[in-house]
Amino acid sequence: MAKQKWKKHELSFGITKAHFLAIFFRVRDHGDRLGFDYELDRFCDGGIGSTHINNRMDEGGFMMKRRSFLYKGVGGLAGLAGLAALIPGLGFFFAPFVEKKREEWEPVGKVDDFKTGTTTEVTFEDPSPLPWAGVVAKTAAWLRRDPDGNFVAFSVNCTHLGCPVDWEADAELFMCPCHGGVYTKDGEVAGGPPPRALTRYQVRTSGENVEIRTAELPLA
Amino acid sequence: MKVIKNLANWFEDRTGLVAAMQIPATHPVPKNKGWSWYYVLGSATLVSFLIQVFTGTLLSLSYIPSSSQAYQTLQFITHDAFFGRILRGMHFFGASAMILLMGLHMIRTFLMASYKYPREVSWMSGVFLLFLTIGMGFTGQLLRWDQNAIWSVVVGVEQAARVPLIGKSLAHFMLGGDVLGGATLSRFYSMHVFFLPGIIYGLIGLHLFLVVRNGISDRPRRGNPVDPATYREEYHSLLKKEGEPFWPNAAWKDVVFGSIVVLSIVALAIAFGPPEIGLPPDPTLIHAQPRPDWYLLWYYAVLSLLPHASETFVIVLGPVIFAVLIFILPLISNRGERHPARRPWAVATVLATVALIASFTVAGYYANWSPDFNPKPIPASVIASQDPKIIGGAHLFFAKACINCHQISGNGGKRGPDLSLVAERLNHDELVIRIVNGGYNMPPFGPTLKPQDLSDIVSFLESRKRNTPNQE
Repeated sequence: MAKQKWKKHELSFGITKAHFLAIFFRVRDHGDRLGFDYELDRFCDGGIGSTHINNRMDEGGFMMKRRSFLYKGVGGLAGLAGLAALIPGLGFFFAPFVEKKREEWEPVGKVDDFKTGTTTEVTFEDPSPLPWAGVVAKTAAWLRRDPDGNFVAFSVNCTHLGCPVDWEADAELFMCPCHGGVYTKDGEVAGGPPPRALTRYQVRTSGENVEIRTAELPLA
Repeated sequence: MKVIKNLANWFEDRTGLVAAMQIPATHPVPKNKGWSWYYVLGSATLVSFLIQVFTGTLLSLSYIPSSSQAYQTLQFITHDAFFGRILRGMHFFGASAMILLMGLHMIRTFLMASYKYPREVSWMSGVFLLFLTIGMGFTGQLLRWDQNAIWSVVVGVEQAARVPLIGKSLAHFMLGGDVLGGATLSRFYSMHVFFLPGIIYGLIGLHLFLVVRNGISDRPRRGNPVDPATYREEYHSLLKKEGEPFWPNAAWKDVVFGSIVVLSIVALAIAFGPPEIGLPPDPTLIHAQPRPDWYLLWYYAVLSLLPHASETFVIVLGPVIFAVLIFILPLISNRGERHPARRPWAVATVLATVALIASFTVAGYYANWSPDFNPKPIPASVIASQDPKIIGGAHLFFAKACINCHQISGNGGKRGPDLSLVAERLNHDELVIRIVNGGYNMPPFGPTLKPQDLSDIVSFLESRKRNTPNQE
């Protein structure tokens, strides 16, 4: 078998076309081997050129460089492909972290619908519900009309763990069914585990309407 | 027959699957005489998981993970679909069985110290599987998408929000936005059906691979501590001496117990059906009392009963500390005695843990800390007085929601002390002070009670003593 020096067949960077083919078949056929003790006679006979390759090529460190180059190149390519697929996936998965929240004024009733001094449950919709949200697009709040005509709105979520608080009108207390949290009529903690007062919504009157500024779920 | 046989032979020749399966199926295992039935818990857990995969896949044929339709599809599955009620029941009892069996399997492994060398990774993968299974249970409960489910989501999210720094982001991530909405259910559905099961499949694969690689643990023997330097050699000697092929010699017990588990799940599903679906998932229906399923009742109780100041610490650090401790257990104790009789602290730990979880579960079931929002008015026979002050006080006791938290002759909430005989414990002044100032969990009523109302309520309470009719 004819053996030729490598430098005669270099194209650029010391790599010949035959090298690529040789590497392809080596990786495929002999990828599990650690040595370089094989020959690719088929390329010698195939008219590609004098591509007789054997382990002696390794003498100049060329094979190691080539292998290292290809490992890095193939690894980089696979990494790039993986990232290309992963980035949109992760973006979609973690979208709630970056999506802008929308807050809007939502009408909850006419001013005259609310008797002075009473606390009433009102409902309103999210500013941008998903089309398939159904009833969960709605939320509730406790609205009180004070004697001075102002309105105060409290979130229904207990500040302990978010359960819906109930209004006991005669006792003038908000009570939580889950763990027994109690709040005064102004939402201040009166007993039990809640760590802070009930969250308040912004309220305004617009013409004859009472409007509540929507807000995110009150969290610790 | 010959055609089938030829076909099977052809398939085996091309794939070698049967030959490949024979290696794990017939790998030698210790006889573990007298202890062998303890070893069926792991395979029974796997069987209950397979029941979940089977029933869950079928339920997905009708379940629509849309927050506007899920409730209706569940109603359809439960009440109209052919065998739907039983299938949903199997999914529910299968989940319960899986959690229960996994707990028992873990206790068995801990008591027999099977987590020691060389099975540390088996234990650690099992710990992951435990938490993933609880995660499956929690996300599965939410897929019922009724009133209880949506408020349970809120409770779960609020707990996540207490994690320092990332809590709020974590909560929004769980909700799929900054409020409960259309994205919430589909996220939990994906977690329940794709993400968590995907990880579970992988970990079960690892768990089973390790069972074959390291062999099932031999029964513990007194005075025969695990020494990593010699264990494998001793184990292989034991297999040579008294080993037997897993299939069929040992596996028949797994088959028998697994079959009992399946039959029990089916029988329970037929007898009791799935848990009732509550009111629609409407966040404006706020007269709700969300409760977790039975396996998380103990945690619900812990959150209710622990001192308020320690709450965030327990919610955030409690699970982390617990998870880290059980995860690293085999790393800090991978050698030494395995027999329970030589490990009294291990036995005590299990007993204490089981007793605590059982006690908190019972407490969570009764949930006495929840005020009674539907108490009955106090009947005249209990008031047992013609005094207008006492009668007025009894009515105020009801109207001012005192009865929501305090029982009078068996009626009312259990959040606060039973006041049926309160006059025997507290005098007039003490009653006034308690009502006006409140207490640890009791709101102060001073600012909202008129002096006359206070006087009437106190008069009513002063009449609550043993000589009052109906108090005996």
